[in-house]
Amino acid sequence: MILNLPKQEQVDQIAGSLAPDVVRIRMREGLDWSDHDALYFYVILSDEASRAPRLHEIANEVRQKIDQELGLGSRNFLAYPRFRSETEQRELKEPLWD
Amino acid sequence: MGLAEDLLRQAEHLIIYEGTKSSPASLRRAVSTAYYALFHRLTEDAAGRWPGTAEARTSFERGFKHGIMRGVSLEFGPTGWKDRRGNRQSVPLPLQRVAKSFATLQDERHSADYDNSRSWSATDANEILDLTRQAFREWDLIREDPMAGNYLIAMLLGK
Repeated sequence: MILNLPKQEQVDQIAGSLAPDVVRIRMREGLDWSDHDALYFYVILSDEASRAPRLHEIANEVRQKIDQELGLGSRNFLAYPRFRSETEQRELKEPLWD
Repeated sequence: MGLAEDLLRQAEHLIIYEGTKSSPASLRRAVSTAYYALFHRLTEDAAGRWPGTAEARTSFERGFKHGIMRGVSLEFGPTGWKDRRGNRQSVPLPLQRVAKSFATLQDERHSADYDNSRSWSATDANEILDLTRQAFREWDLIREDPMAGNYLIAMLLGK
């Protein structure tokens, strides 16, 4: 269990600061494949932002903001941002990302 | 071209060869291959510093264990790496990013290979390839720094 878990509102602020490229970010706590605590960030991007070369730029911004603004860079667990476009989510329809 | 670069090219090929609608299997193989590309980039570099025969260097590379490499990678973070004498040494930023990317890619590789419940998208797989390419570039920048050597030795010995 992760102590001092960031709040979804803080995550929403990061998403808002990167709009319209970032549509929303949902955060979930869990265990990774080595059974360590982990935070997963499900990031929905606009279709335009999900294409090269914009994808690399916006993904780096998301990773940096998660580390710096949520103070996760020096914690002893990993944050895992995962990325999907709006169109891909409409097709895959996974509640985890909504 | 070394095996690491060859694997990276193969991962890129797996994402694009079916056109805009890559199959889930290809996306999974691309992510898994991207992890192994970085794994071999690091282990080949470590072995290349050893003045032995090609066969001996291959044996040297086999000494690296994935779990140990992950654990050590997490120690090369912003708070610095603690050496055998307990002294904390600062880790250059590019090396911090390589180490973190290695740990991240390893978990994504496990997910791609074993988690049948996860749906993969081309965006997700492409972003993981971007992360791998960036780790290659940053490793090239930092590989001659003494701390990069410490990172490789620590990953081999587990301390």
